[in-house]
Order: sequence, then C-alpha cells, then structure tokens
Amino acid sequence: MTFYLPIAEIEINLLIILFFGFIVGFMSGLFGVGGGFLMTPLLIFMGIPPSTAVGTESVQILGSSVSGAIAHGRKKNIDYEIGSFLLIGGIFGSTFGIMIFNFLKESGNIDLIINILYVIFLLVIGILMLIESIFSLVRKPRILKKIYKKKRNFLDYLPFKLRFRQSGIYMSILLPVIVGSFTGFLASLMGVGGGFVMVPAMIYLFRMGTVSAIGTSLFQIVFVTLNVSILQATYNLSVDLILAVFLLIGGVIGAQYGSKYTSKFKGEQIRVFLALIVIIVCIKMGLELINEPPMNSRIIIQDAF
Amino acid sequence: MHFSFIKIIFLFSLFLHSFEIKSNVLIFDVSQKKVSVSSDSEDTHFTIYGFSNSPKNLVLKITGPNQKVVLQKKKKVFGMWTWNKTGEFSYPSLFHYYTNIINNEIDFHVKKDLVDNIKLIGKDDDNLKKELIDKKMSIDLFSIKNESFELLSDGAPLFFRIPIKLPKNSPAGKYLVSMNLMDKGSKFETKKIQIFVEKPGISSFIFEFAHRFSFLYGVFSAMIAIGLGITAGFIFKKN
Repeated sequence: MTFYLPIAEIEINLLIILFFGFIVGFMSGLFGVGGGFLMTPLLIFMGIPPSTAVGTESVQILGSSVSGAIAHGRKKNIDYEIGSFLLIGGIFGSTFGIMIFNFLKESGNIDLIINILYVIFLLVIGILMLIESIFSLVRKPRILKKIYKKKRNFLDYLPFKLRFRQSGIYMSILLPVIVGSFTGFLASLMGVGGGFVMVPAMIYLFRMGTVSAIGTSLFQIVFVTLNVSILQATYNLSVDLILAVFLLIGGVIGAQYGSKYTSKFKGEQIRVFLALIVIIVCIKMGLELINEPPMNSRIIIQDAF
Repeated sequence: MHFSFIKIIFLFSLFLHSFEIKSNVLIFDVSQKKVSVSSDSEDTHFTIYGFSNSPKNLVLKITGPNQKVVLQKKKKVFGMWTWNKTGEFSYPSLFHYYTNIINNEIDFHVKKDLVDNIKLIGKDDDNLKKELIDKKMSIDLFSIKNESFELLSDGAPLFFRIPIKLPKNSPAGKYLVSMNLMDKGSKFETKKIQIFVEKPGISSFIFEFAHRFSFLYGVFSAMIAIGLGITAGFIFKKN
C-alpha cells in the first residue's frame, strides 16, 4: 500500500502511517496528553521533512482536538473569557511564528531549529516528569491537609486586571495573552498543540481548576491550530493532507484503546513510562542533529508555473 | 546587363535556399497530445514518429512546465548538520533529450543547451547549475538518452520512432517537444509541439491544489480535519 505523498515528496506505506498514528494515539489516550510532541519527531524519523511534519501535525491536532473541545463546551468546562485572551495571544504568536518559520525555511535552517527546539523541550519535560514521578513512586502516600493561602507575587501587580466570573479569578489580561502567544509560537514552529505548557500555566499561574484549564486549553488549541494549518499551507506549502488524514484516522482509533488501559496502571507508573519515551525520543532527535545527512544537496520547489 | 546580374543572383539564392531545405528536412509528430502519467503504469506514455533525409546528429528535446526552486547544500554548524541556501533557479521542471547516435558534438550541444536553459536568479554560477543538474539527473527529471531512436528504414531517408516514457515524478502541465538536427556546428530546430501531461490520482490533485491555490488548500485541509474529528467524536461517543 505504498503511496506518494505529494507535499512531503516521498513514497511511504500508508499502513505504516496508520500504525504510527495508532501508536501515538494509543499513548495519547493512555497518558492523557495531546501527542503532537511525540508524533512530529516520529514523522521526522520516518523520513518526512521536518517542516512538512510540523505543518501536517497542526492539521492532525486540529482534527483530534475539535471533538474534545466540543465535548468540554457542552459540559461548560470552557472559560470563554480567559479562552478569548489566550486566543488573541495564540493568533498573534502563531502568526509571528509562521513568519519566522518562513524565513528559516527560505534560508534552509528550519530543520535544524525544529530539531534543536525538540531536543530542548523533550529533555526538560522528560527529566522533570521522570524526577516527579520517581519521587511520587518512592514517597509513601500521605494525606495532606493543606490550607491554601494565596501569596501575592509579581503576576498580581501586572496592569489591565479583569474579573473572570466563570473561573472566579481576578488577574491581568496580559497573563493569558502572553501564555497564549508563547504556545501559539510553539504550535507554529514545533507542530504541537501547546497543552503541555498551557494547562500547567493555567493551573499554577492563573489558579484555574484542572477540568476548566483542560477545556479552555482545547478551545484555544482548536483555533490556533486552525490558524497555523491555513498559514502553513498558504505560506510554507508544508501541509500534506493525505498524511494528516491517515494520521488522524490512526490516532483517533488508538486514543480510544489507549484510554481504556489508563485505569490499569498507577498514575506514577504511567508518568515514568511516558518520561522514558520522551527521553528516548529526545536522544534520537539529538542524534539526528549530529548525524551527517546522506545527500549533499536538496531541491525545494517554491513555485510551479 | 544589370537585369541579367539580378536574375543570376536571384536564381543562385533560390538554389542555396532549396539546398538548405533539401539538406535539412526533419519532420516529426507525437502519437498523442494528451498524456497521462500514472504511478503504477510501466508502459510507454507516447511515441514520436519522424522523418529526416539526413541521418546526421538528431536530438529530440522534451521540456516540462517551468518552476522556481531553491537549491540547499548541507553545512555543519557547531557540530550540527543543517542546510544552506546556495541558489535560486527558474527552469523547466523536466529536460529529456533523446539522440540517435552518441558523439562528442551531440554531447556538447545537449549539455550546453541544458545549462543555457537554467536561469539562476541573481549571480550566475556554473558550479551551482552543475550541482542542480546532477541532482535533477539523479531523480530522472533531467536525462540524456543516447542511441534511443528506433529506425524504421535503413539509411537515408531516415524514418524513425522514439518511445517516450516519462518518470513517475514528472509534474503535470504543458510540455514542449522539439527536434534538432546538428551538423558541423550548424543547428536546425523544428517548431515546438505542445503536449499536455496529466497525472491521475489524488497525489497529483493535492500537489496542484496546494501549489496553485495555497490558501484554499489550507482552508480545505482544515475543514477535512474538523469534519473527521467531529465524525470520530460522534462514532466513539455512540460506541
């Protein structure tokens, strides 16, 4: 079932794409993560050019997050006020990111930047997750009765404060705009949704509830990946629809099976396993950086007329 | 006396003209003007039929639609490999030459023609052009096939046919087919025949759509993803 991917410009077996889509979808369901930060490196390992992997992954994330966002919307888990400011930042950050992407693609350095960003992010996430989950496994379970006292920090002194009624938060609108911009920037350069940055930021910086943070994050991801998908296709010609569709099909089915196995493991065990996968992917990405490419030169088609 | 001189000059020029025509008759045509290049077919795509009264150096040239490309070369930065933009080119996406014989003259003409037709945007650099030609030859989009004429008659006049098979990665669009007759430095070129190459299948459609209507393609891709996502959510919700 070999097929020529028209934008990635390589011939690939579609069953392999379905299989990897399924595997990453399974892990997404099992670990409760988006999967973009695992899928993009995997596509690069399969020989898909990094720029096409990033652009295509945006389309896949859009498809896989839309039904989750609708479901959270129905359950009223989305704070639309905070989500709107995250979205404003996200649109700005992702559009700026696409401009940088375009500049780097023209100069030939986009692959290097994508690989470096992945190595840094995966290393940080993998190590933090591994340390946290190992400590959780080793420590004896304790029931902590912690009286949470809100301490004022520098974030409370930011200007343009607004009361967000649904979440009961009083904070500067700059905070969601900055977080949204950062994740939008990452979405355009790395082909990720950015939930792994946004959800912890919303819980620890905005002090939102976990469910509301996840719902609002998905709301922002849908519109930011929509923006990234259209801009990537328009300016960078880096969206391979055939690849995206097969990844989406494999991913959606895999996620359903993965979520069924979540209850069979302890949370800490799952996190150790995920951390190890992230670190292995990080090492492989690092090797990609130092391994000499087999070809001396390559041709990038810019325009056909 | 004056009239006779003009008459002689006129007759002499007519003789020369007829000699030129007579010595350089080269006629050809293509078996079909609409060609379909599918990824699974191994058959000949079309055939050239021709006639020449002189079995000299004959060259058939096929050029594909124009495209603008960037050539990148690998470069090491702080121990890491990256790509460096070395040139921007505008040229026909496909150059195929078919010759009836192989000799130095024909080889020189063909290679010169290939280099001359590649336009480097900005500063000209023959090394970069050579790099690009090697690269395109490695993926069969540029090729020189010597001794590829199938003769239908012995000696002069020469009736021939040339079976043409385009590579799977040939872009769709308008192609130009022409023939050259080369003889001791002089070159006679026929008029160009236009053929249209189409590539059936979803890959070709996606490529054309993405390159010609990028914005619409982006919107279409996003709509497909949203549609699939909602459908999947609906199916698994029911299950």
